[in-house]
Amino acid sequence: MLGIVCSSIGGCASGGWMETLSLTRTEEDAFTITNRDTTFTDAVRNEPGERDNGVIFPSSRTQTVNSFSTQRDSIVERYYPNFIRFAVFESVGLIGTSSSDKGIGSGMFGITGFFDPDFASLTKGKPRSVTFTGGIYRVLTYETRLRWFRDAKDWTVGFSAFEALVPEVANESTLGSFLPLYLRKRYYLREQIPYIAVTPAIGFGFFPSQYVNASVSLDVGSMGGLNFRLYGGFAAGTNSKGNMFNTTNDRTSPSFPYLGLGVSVLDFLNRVPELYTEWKDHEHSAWDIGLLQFTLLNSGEPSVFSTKNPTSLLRGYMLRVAPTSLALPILDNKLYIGTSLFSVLVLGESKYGLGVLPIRIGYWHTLLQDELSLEPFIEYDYYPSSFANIGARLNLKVSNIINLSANVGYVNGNSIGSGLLPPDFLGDLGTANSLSGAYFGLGISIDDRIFFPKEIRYNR
Amino acid sequence: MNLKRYMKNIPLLLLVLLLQSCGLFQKILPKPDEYSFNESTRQSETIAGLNISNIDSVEYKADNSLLLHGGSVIALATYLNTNFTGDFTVNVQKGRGLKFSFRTTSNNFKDNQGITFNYTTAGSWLEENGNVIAKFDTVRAIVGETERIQITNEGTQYIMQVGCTVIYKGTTTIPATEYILASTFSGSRVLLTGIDFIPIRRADKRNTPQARAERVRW
Repeated sequence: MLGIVCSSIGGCASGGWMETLSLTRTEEDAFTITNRDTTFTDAVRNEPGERDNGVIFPSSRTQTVNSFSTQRDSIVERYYPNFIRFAVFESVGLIGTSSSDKGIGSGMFGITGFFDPDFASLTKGKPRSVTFTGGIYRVLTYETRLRWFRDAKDWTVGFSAFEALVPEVANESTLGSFLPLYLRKRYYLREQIPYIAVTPAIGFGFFPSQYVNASVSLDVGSMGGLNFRLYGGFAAGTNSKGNMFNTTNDRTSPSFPYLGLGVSVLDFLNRVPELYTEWKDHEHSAWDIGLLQFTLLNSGEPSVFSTKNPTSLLRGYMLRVAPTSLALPILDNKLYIGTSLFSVLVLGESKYGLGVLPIRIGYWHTLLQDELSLEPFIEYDYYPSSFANIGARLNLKVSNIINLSANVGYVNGNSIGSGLLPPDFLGDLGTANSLSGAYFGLGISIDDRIFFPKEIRYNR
Repeated sequence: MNLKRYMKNIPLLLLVLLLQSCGLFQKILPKPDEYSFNESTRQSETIAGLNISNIDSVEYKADNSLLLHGGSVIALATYLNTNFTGDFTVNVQKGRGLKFSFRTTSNNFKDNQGITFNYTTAGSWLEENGNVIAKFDTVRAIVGETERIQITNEGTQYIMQVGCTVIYKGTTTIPATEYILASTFSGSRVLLTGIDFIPIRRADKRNTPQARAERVRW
């Protein structure tokens, strides 16, 4: 039936993970088709022998008329997005939250500092100066339309599964909450993809910290789930004695202004008209968006999995977290530029590299519609390791959330290219040294959606 | 870990969890274009209403009453009842009048208006897919006076009744739907009261061609 009733019921419908999180609104319409039919049956039962028929003698012919009426129903279901914004992960690198010797050193976008040896730690007597003193981290952010003030435009209300506002190394200054409630209003400067909007927001954290966070951001995105944000704001709140952030004997009341630069992945933004566009008609900017791509590799290096059997078939692995491949409107829209939140490449023991937001350029070639695609690519991981990965990936679409792949490539570079990483920073994987060699691997991608040419917005 | 301190925060956490769990969070948010009628009337089916025009053009007056301003379009429907009688008491307070469209849906109303009964101060007429199929010059709305309009959809047949008079009985091949859409002419103001949908037959999800085929297969 009727979407109106369905949407008010809530729509935690069965289906994929999108539906499980109530990200899809289902509308139904019922139609009844009535067919009326009439059957005429003629029967002539003539007795053998001669007889007189005609005006005086009645004919033996009989006619039966049967009228039928059949009704069949048709239930049409339509699926729409049920959110203004849904984001899996967002991080913001903050400046101005504390003095540079006390800051966590979160790095650009709040994540590039993760691999610095002095990230979020102070060594007594050691001088320290970081630019990005704090960070904001949000997981599973959901925003839905808030239609108040006579349906005023572009208001949203939403929450994240967890949010942490970290101004400095000292834990008791961190403000964090499960399910913080946020009100946001977007002023769109550009109403085409990628959207550009100025977004004032106010958020309230409830547990374990109680706080208010007011901010204004300049948002660019989303394209293929990728967004960039420039933040300015102020946060103030309390950490009661003994809560998960506060190990001191007193209640703490941190407050701090901030400026920040953020990135978010798997972060999808819909404008209001898109809430009334069926999922199947939505425009897509990327050839591929996923949560995880994992590939087991065979290379010429000793296996990282088993020291007893270093020549086993499985020598290493490749992992991409939140990869995306954005189509570029050149070369028949097949050229793409991609990245991922993190990438890990382990060729074998002592040969591994890490990347944060690496740059990947490739060519997406669809071999078989809706099933098979080939992507030759070159990926440059510049931080914290520094290496180039030239390869090709053959993707087999199994479903909208699972894909299989075959990978072949060659990697060359340095595991500790930035000079910041200790050579044994991954412990069990051994001491890192130069990273070069060829590989072949088979992989599986989870929550990974491959799009085909007819779904790419440039092709519409 | 100081459990006592955590315990103090648990009611707050539970409240937040309750409010933000998927169904409830969506339910409590304002939906200014959605209405529900006959919720307090036991004898009647609950009717869902969706304003698909300007948000200020429709005023919710009571549990089964609406005031429609000029240029408004409201879709009314009950769950799965495709064969039904729609009953309205109409008072054209200003302007030309209104029209009722049925055998259509709110989703594709712009492209497919189904059968439309136009009820105006200059006379009434019926249209099927935009073509006039019957005119009733003597059936006129009178500004300020109330009139009862009933629309019955049953199978291929539909019946128009204004007051006590059945003004038209017709047949159509357009499939029956759950909807009646009421829309006003520009500059009109119309009060709808006593809105009721009396079900005749309910569509059945087991009666779709797909469901039938699956039953045969298994």
